[in-house]
Amino acid sequence: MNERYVPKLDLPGSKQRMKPVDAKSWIGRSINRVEDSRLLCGTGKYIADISLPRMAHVALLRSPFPHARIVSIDKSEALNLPGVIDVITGSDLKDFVGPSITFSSPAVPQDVIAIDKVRHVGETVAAVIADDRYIAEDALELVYVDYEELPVVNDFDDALNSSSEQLLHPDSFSSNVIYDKEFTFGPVDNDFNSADIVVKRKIRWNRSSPQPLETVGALASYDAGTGKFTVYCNTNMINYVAWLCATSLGVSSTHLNIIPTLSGGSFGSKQLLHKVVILTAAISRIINRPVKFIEDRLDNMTNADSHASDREYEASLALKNDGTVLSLSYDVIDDYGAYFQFGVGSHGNTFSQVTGPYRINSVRAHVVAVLTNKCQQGAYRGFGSEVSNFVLERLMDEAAHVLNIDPVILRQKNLIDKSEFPYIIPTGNVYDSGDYQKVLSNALSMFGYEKWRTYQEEKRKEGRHVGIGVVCCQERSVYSATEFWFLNDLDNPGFELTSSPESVFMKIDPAGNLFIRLNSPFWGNSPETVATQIAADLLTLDPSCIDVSYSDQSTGFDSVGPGGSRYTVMIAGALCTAVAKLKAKLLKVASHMLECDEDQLFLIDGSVCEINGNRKKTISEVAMAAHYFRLSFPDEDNYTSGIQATAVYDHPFTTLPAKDRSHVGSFYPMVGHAVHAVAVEVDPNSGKIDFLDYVAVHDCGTMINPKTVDGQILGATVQGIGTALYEHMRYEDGQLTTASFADYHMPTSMEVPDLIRVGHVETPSPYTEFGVKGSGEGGRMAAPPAIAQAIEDALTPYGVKINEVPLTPQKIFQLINDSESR
Amino acid sequence: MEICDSYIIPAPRNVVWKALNDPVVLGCAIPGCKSIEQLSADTYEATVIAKIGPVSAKFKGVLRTTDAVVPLSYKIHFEGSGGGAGFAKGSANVSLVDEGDDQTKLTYTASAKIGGRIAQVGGRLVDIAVKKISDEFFQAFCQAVAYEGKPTSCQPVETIALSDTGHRWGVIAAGISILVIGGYVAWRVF
Repeated sequence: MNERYVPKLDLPGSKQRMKPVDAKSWIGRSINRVEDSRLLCGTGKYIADISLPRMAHVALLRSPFPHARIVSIDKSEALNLPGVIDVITGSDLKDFVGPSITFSSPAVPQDVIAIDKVRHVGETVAAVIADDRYIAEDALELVYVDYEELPVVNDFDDALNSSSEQLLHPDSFSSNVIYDKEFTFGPVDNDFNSADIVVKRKIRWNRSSPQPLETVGALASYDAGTGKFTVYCNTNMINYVAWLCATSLGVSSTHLNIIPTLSGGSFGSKQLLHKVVILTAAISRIINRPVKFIEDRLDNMTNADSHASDREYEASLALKNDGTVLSLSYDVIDDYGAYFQFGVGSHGNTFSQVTGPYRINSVRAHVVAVLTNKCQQGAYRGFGSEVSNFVLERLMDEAAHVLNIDPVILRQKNLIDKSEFPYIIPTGNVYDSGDYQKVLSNALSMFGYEKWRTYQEEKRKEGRHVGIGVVCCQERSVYSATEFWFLNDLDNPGFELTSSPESVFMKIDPAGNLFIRLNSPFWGNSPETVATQIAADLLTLDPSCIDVSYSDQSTGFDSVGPGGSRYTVMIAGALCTAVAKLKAKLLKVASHMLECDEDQLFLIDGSVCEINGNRKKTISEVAMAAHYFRLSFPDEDNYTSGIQATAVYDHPFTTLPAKDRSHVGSFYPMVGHAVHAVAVEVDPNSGKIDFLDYVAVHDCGTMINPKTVDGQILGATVQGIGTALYEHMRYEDGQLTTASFADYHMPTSMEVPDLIRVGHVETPSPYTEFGVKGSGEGGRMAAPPAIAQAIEDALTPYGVKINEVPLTPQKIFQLINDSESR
Repeated sequence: MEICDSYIIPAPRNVVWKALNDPVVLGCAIPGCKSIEQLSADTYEATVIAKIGPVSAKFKGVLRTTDAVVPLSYKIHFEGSGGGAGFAKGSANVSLVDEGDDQTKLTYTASAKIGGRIAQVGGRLVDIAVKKISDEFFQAFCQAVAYEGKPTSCQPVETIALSDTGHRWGVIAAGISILVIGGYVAWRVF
């Protein structure tokens, strides 16, 4: 084989300040989560817990039709119901609300309440505002809408062949194919020509959706005196793009303050909740009362803009006879639903790790995105990379089958070696570090691979169907801003932003306690725990002296928020900067108090101590002096009263994409790794899957708190099991038939393994503080291919090929039947 | 969604037919029926408060009959709208045969398209509810015909009929379509 293809990138040097060895006493310990006491005791404040005087409530009338013109809306009967304050339609709102926020370019317009046309079942048609939610819900039945049905665009074929009345956005686009581009990274043709074999699979990844316990909500109040809006919301990006909501509301950003509440889970689904912010704020202005709306489950399922990837792949892998993988080529079509809020961001995301942990020389990707009459896609744990992991691992299994090589050995042979990092993959993304062989060997020994193979043989003789799955998956983390636009058309790329910062405010009060204010909201992860452990470590404070809170939009700054497994890495960076400033001030003040040079002082056990001597001052003593005894210090600026600091941390290791997109640059470079090993038994008579064992070994670099990492891995793995086996947002003739948990089947304790055994390898990143990488999504990225491989393995006697998720019992049963009738 | 079922009605076919021509009987038998209006020879409108469990909602159904083979069979096209709850529309074939001297067998096969919240709750669940409510309807209907077409004990409803058209089968279909919608309500509590 010729020399490996490596895209030309100018990689920045490492900006790491804190090495893994700089973690002393708190980082790496499984302390109890700081967040837990109020969350577990039910005393946390969510949207539903917040009330304002004179607060009105909203219920939303939802379209029963997937595609229809709104001919007329008769709200008179609803308005006559006692307790109803107002009924507001899309045309009523038009005077108060401008265009919606979208990352796609060209923009696909979306209205908070549909104006002339509905494009999916569940789209909002009118808002009923009443004294309480019960009255508002009752009044929904009294709003009469006259619809004129339009032809329904159900699937890929419909979308590809749409014209005239089937077009979802005929004013803006003359086709329902919203995106169609091909990318070639490296010598794909050469690699395919020099291959001994090419394996192919057609793979269907059906639409699933994150299901947070708490749905989307907001409580808005408008102050007619000041003309200002205050909105409580469980959204995420308040200090990144939420100022755009002010633009939608037609006011200056000084006149909108979004106050984040606790979020009862997101998994990506509450990334940017502009619709609910704008809706409640605008209504609050119209009726001049505070207004609350929170989705019920049907609202959320049909209209939360959070359905996930809905793709079909035709993919090929080129290999040598010895199992060396050369190249990957695929055509993918993705059904985005009726709108396009993040563009094809989830396909840009796949470019971060499309070649997996393997040495694959080149990639061709043909990406087609279509619009149909379904709820639009949003983000869900993995944001598309879980799908490309699945596709690649299915191809590896097919190759192992064709070449008659053990699937584990085939993987082992192609893994990138630990000496090769930083490793630039053909798309241009960089893998910072890793030890994939070690993760694999640890997983195999924890799992007992040989033992399970023997067991499988024994059971097969008894006519039972045990299967084993072992997959190697990447878990990219810490996205940079370029992925929002680099797949857009070169001549219309949209807003080419390059900043994705995270920031903190910190102060030490006169009592010596540390206050940390994060500029992104709580999202179900463990930001308070992480911030506490890092700050405690760096300032040698006890965690009980540390308070962590959250800023709102008016007081916060430059923070993207959780997502893409970035948050721990990014606040670690901001905390290190802020702590350095606090520490400098502490030492400055203490040096005057102790009459010695600052470089003779260091922090230990909550005190500032002399290196050579016994004298010390506690941090509280220094803080007290800094706050209240200004005249004890020189009349110089660096003794200004108080001890506080702000810090903004930018992405530490990102580059621009190539102008011609021959590569997309380093945009998701902190790459963790996971091996999931699973043993299942399939009952061919019912299609039921039983888990016999499940091992997940992850490497997310240095762990701040192993217990919370375990939590992330377990939770994500269970979601991966749901995606693999049960969860499917199923539309039939435009109607969502799985809009409640009676039909949208999430795994319960009965459907998951009794025990998921978690192991860790720690290969620190050389680019982040302490060597941390993200760990929020890997479980969902690795579980589906592991389970699919295990089921296919179990059903070898039937020759069944698994090319689809979810693998419901009905589906498995049908696959077995089909194979038997062949 | 396909629904088909049949019922034995303990009355001769002519009695059944007469009862079916009587809006008063039908209004009583359809659970929650508030009005039945005959708009033309083959078009009807019915309003029903479907109250099942803790929730009630008002539905309007319009239906049209075609392919009548009096008094043996009919095809009925129906459309019912429950506002926020969604809609049901479709058609049903209804037939009537003698079952001995004093019994009549009624069979219907309906294919329905449901939308909005009704569909979101799932056809599987709606089927069960429809069956339950259909049973209720026919139980009340049988009771009525057992007294020679005279209603026994039910509240009168507003009924507006054209003179003697004999096209009453549609009303049953209205009941069915509305019951489909009502079925949704029963399960919404989940």
